[in-house]
Amino acid sequence: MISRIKVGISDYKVSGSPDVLMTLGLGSCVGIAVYDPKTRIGGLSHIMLPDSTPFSNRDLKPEKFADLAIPLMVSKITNGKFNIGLIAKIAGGASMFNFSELNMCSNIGERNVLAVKEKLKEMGIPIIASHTGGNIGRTMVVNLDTFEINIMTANREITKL
Amino acid sequence: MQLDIIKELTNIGGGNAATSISHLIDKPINMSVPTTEILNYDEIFEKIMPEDKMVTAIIMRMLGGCEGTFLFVTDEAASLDLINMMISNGIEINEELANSCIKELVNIVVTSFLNAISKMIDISFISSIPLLAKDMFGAILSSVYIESEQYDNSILIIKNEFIYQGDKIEASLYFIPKPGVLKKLFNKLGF
Repeated sequence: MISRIKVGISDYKVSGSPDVLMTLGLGSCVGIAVYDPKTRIGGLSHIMLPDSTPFSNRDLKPEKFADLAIPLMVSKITNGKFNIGLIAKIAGGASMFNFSELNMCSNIGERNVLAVKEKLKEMGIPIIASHTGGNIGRTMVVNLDTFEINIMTANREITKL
Repeated sequence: MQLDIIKELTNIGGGNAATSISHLIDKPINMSVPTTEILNYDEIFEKIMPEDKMVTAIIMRMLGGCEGTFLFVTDEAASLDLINMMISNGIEINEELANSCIKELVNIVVTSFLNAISKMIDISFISSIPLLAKDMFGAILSSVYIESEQYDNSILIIKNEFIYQGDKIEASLYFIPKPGVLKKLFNKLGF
């Protein structure tokens, strides 16, 4: 039995082969798939913001932030053990409208991608493929049997990562 | 209480906007009771529209006393209907013309919405040019809320739906205020 598990905004899910993890409609958010090829256990996280520190005085949801969500998800994948041999693929971080035309661009998508890359580097997890930036929304479907990822965009094109 | 005030303002603004669409297409357009509800993203995609539904979206940024974003969301069929009603027969419609038509429609809708509001509240509105994107509803909605510095998981949905000849047109106008803007409006109104 293959379960198709949906990951919502500001959430992550972890499962094992042969399950499929998917998240729909990534805009400026970033989807981060981390996988252990030995155990074939992997996770998919849908973060909304790069950094939790400006929000530290608020009741925050760790799954929303790149800096908190990734370590939490990774420790669930490795069951708290060392994260040796993990690999990652990421997608998203778009700017859906040409906000710069209005002179009011916060570049949130770009900042999300940078924060994710930084965190993964810090944790020693290489990014082996990515599909980020631009002005298109993305849906990400992760096959935990092979760690093959399908990226669906608005023009109905499918890119394999 | 505050949600009721927002609802009333949205009702007045949306009513005026519906009238202006009617003038533009020369057909009666009505409006349903506005939605003013706090929902989380999962609920939004379940109740309002699935996150991977393709939509045509137009945004207009508000500056000045009322910072925020207007977001007009329609599907392909409805936007074609609206465009056909706006353009006289015999004119060939290409994509560029269609996009500029729908942007102009949103410009008029937002302006008339704001005119109605500014008659009640002494506040200045400055709006940007409209920007258009055709993409997945979820990608657009979340990005616009985040760009408006609305980072919570539960967000306030302020939305008008338009009705044509008794049928709902798949077209809605959202307003996404920047933090603190609604409080400023309430103060102006004396609440």
